[in-house]
Amino acid sequence: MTPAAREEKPVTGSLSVPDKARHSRILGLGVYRPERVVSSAELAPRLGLDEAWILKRSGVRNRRFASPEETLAMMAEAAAGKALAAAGVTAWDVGCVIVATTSHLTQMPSLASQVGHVLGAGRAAAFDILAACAGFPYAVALASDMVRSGTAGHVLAIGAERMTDIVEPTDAGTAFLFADGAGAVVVGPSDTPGIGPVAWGSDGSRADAVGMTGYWDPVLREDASLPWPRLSMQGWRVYRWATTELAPVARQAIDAAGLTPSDIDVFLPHQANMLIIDALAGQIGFGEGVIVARDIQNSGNTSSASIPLALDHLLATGQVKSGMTALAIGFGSGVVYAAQVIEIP
Amino acid sequence: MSAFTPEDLKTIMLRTADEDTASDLDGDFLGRPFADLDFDSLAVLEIATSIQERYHLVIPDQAIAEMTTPRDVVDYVNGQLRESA
Repeated sequence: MTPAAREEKPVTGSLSVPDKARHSRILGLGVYRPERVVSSAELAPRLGLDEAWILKRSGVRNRRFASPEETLAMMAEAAAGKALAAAGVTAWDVGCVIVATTSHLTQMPSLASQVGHVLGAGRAAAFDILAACAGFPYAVALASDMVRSGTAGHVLAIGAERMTDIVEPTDAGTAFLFADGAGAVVVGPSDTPGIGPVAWGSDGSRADAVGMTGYWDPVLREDASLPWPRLSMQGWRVYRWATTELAPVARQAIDAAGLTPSDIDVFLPHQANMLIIDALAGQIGFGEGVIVARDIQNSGNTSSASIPLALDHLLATGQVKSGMTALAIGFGSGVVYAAQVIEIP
Repeated sequence: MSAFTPEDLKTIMLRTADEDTASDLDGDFLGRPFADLDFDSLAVLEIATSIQERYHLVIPDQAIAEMTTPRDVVDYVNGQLRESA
């Protein structure tokens, strides 16, 4: 448009938005753990590893592997259904469904749209996000901002993974670590703050720490002998990054919530590896009584599902209770990371 | 600064190894792959981290990735010490 034309067209109105800013909180949690428990004793021989080495280097004693019937959608729906029930919110009242997943093996449609449909969230927007093992705090951050701004009344934030679909079962570097499961929360409006500001970021220069061995290239269709893309990880690179870069991110999230590390009751790190969990827990400066989630012992690394699964375990075993203040931090392939303080539902 | 000797590395490696995996580092261990000596990738990282602290070096990930034998470590560290001398 030329300047002259712009002068000729009168201004007919100005955009306005309703001012709905409010607080948000997690109203309910639900998880799904696959039926089949696989012990490190069972896995070690076929990977050429010692069970003792697996325990020492990862902390994983048992993990759950999904059966063919326990599809990604089935697990996500089960977890989300429980979260809705716990929150006392109907699916019809959900304004948006977000699924964080790294193992949804199709480009479209999104898993979120299918989960929303099955649950009866007929009015909900729906989309998936890919933030690997940081997926859950990413989804909670988006959900919280949607609720606070009025974009959505209630948001389902789900982390769901069938890591066994993308892990090479004979890879001694990853096959004992990763596992399957799903966790979900309902985020909704609150009179008081229940989800703190997110501290997040990414560093694409560290892409080779953990990723896939290749692309779903059309050449795979033509040559059946070519290997499918699989998860590939240089665990020591992840360990080095996590134990040198993430404690400041955690403290940033705590500070943004107006708290100090000693105010945190519960530490909910992504269940990547026990060595990383222990190192981070020691670095952040928590008080002596802080409760540290160590669900990796019995669930393995379930990527974007690990934080809600770990929280569920702490609640189910009575180690934590509703109203406590927790710090969640996720980190993974990208690399990407996100941390926020949450009030336990 | 003086050179980084195989004995210096051996001291660090023995401190890194725990009782379960304490390796036989007698004889010529320098050319043997870390994996054969029961040092996994996290143990190599631990060795590199100890060297960083003691010798005030910054060892990038890629350099650690290329440390497949003790000799690689000795050569790398001496190269860095010469550069910073």
